Amino acid sequence: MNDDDALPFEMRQLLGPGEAPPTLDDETADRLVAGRLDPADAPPGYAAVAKLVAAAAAPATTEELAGEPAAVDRFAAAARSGFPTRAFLTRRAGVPTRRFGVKAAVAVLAAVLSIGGVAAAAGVFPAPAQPAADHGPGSGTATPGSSDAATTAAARNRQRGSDTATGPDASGPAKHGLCRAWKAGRGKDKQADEEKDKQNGKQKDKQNGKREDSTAFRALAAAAGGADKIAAYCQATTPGRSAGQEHGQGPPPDRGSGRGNGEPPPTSGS
Amino acid sequence: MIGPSFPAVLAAAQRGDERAFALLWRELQPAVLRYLRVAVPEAAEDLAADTWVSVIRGLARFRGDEPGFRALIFTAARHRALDWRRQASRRQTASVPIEDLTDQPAPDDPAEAVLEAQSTRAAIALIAELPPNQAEVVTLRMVAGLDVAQVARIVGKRPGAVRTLTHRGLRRLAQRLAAVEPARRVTP
Repeated sequence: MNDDDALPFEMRQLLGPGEAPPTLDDETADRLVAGRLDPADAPPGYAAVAKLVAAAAAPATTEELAGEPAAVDRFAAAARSGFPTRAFLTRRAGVPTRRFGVKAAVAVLAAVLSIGGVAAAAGVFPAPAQPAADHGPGSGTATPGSSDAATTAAARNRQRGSDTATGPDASGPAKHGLCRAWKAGRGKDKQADEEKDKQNGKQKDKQNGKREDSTAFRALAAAAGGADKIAAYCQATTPGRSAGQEHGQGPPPDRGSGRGNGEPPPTSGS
Repeated sequence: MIGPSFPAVLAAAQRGDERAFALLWRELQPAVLRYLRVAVPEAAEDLAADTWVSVIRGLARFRGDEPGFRALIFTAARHRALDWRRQASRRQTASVPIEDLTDQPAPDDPAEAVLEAQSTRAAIALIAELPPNQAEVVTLRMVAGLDVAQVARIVGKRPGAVRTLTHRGLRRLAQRLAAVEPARRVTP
């Protein structure tokens, strides 16, 4: 029983003979590794291992979560430079699906708003999420309305023409802004022009139906589940709530401004 | 576990929602980091970042539940670790002196730090002392919270082999801890 499992010679010297604990049965081992075995109930020799499990699977430390802003920045950069729009649209072109229909969109939006903001604030999250949620407000990741702030920042970038992104994601953060632009475009085509100008300005006279040329429109259509569903998709954006948040926001998070569609920082260890 | 809201969180992240991504990151990063600190202590931080880069890249295509997502992340982390080791051996550099492998003030013995201070870093350091196969399986089960079948898929072994490695690892950890234990009473 001490074949390939043998301890290094030196360690065996330290331990002395007769200290090898029994091999556990599967069920006990499963409970032990899952942290469901109280040290007091552990078989002889395994109480200390139960403590080790508790330490090894302990809630996140602030040191472990220190990289969050950088990680979210990389995510945002990836999102701006084609994720998920490119893969997303390509897939959708081939495989029509209602996965992101109106109901799903509303559910996701509502869920994320409540999960990201209210729930974190209320301490509903499992312990590992808490430290970051606690120091989150600085980066704006845990505050309701920050996605609207990001939207506004993105819209600003677009208006400045400094953002060369291939297309906005009509996902959660950008939805309000895109819907607003789209709705405004139905009447006056004003905000839509800003979108168009950055494209190629060839579509002046048409209604919103013609805006398939716009990357923004395409993203919105993709998120809505089809060009003909945009109205319903945008309608479903809880008006009271979004209106309130649009005006109640603080300064946009810095990651939203002027970074263009830079590539993720090189972190290659490979 | 993120739990019942996971599908909504995942879907939002797949659309580019930063807060949703941050949730996923906070949920999984600690375990990813601990796993990599066992696997490749000298480059764990960088490899964790690389892991997320590859996860982000594949995020839009992922379909599955939360356990599936966890498995995806640890599969990615493992690939980063394997790549790193392959390249390290190709470079054939004894890159980092052993004393630099941990950035914590080295305790006299991680086993004591585990028992006395319930130190996570010490627990990880202790698991890292195991033979690599045992260390990997024990970490994936203990820290990543994956079951035998998931771990078997990730490491490409049969479930029976995963169980055996787990048993051996636990037994050796018990022996290791017993070495500093004698005078100390373990109380829950």
